[in-house]
Amino acid sequence: MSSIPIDLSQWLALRLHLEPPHLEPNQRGKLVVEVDIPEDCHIESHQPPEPFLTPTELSLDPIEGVVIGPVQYPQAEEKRFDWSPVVLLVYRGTIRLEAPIEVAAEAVAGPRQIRGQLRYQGCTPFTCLMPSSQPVEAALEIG
Amino acid sequence: MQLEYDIEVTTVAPTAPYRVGDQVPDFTLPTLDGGEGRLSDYRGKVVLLVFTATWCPYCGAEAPFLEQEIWQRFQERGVQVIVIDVKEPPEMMRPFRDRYGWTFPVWLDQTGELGLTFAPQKEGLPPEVAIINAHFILDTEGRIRYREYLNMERFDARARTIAAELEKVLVQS
Repeated sequence: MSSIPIDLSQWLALRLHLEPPHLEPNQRGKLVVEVDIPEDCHIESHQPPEPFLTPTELSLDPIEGVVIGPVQYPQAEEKRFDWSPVVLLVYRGTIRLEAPIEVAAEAVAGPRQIRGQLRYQGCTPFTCLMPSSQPVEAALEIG
Repeated sequence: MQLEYDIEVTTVAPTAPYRVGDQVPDFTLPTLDGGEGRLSDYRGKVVLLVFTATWCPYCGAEAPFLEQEIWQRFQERGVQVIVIDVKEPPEMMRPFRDRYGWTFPVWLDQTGELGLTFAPQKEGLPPEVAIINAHFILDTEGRIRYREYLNMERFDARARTIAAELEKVLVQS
């Protein structure tokens, strides 16, 4: 086990980009969030099989003139653990979340900042970590 | 049910945790039902202390065994199960307790201070994580007779281990 305390605010590596990078009024695109989960670790999926397991949730703040979402989550992987009576649905490796973006026809041109958070609960091979959130931020240029 | 609640990680390192043979100092905690739980009220009983949290997948897996295989089997033989929920508000624990039909007391360590005194020093882990799913068996005098931190054993097997340890302490008490 690492001698450095696990920094839950940095545990997942997040990479964000917009497709396309610039949007015109009345145009659609998407925000892509790629999440690198540490090797041999997993996080709960967006729809875990038990009610008290913490779902992975990408929440994004509203922006005037822009409709964001709903977020599309990847398919979960079925994983059986000796200690669990149910098959868990988890994410491992690198996953990709997408949030559709639609710029309103009347949206004013200029820069916007997409902000939000990714909430998750992960486990290492040795233990499970408490639920945590990491900030999500991306620049959107309109016009 | 999902309540969004981020747990603040303490920066205080745990002291050396209690060992087998140590006397656990008396403590009080608020209970899930709005009262106050005091450890010394259970002197004369063998006490199983279990540290838990609703977010912990192992704890959910263990929850039915605690009620059915431990509490229902041992309560009439002088054993008291007490679950201590670490750093969560009661509204998170209540539906968890109800789902698993727990009928033993649930106490709330909302600051995490009590858990800190029991937490093992595990490199790389904050004490709020290291203490979760730890089990301590206290004899009738309040001395620790058995302790176990998280392991990956199946909970039916683990319940048998805990039951066997309770049997030993009951015989010795």
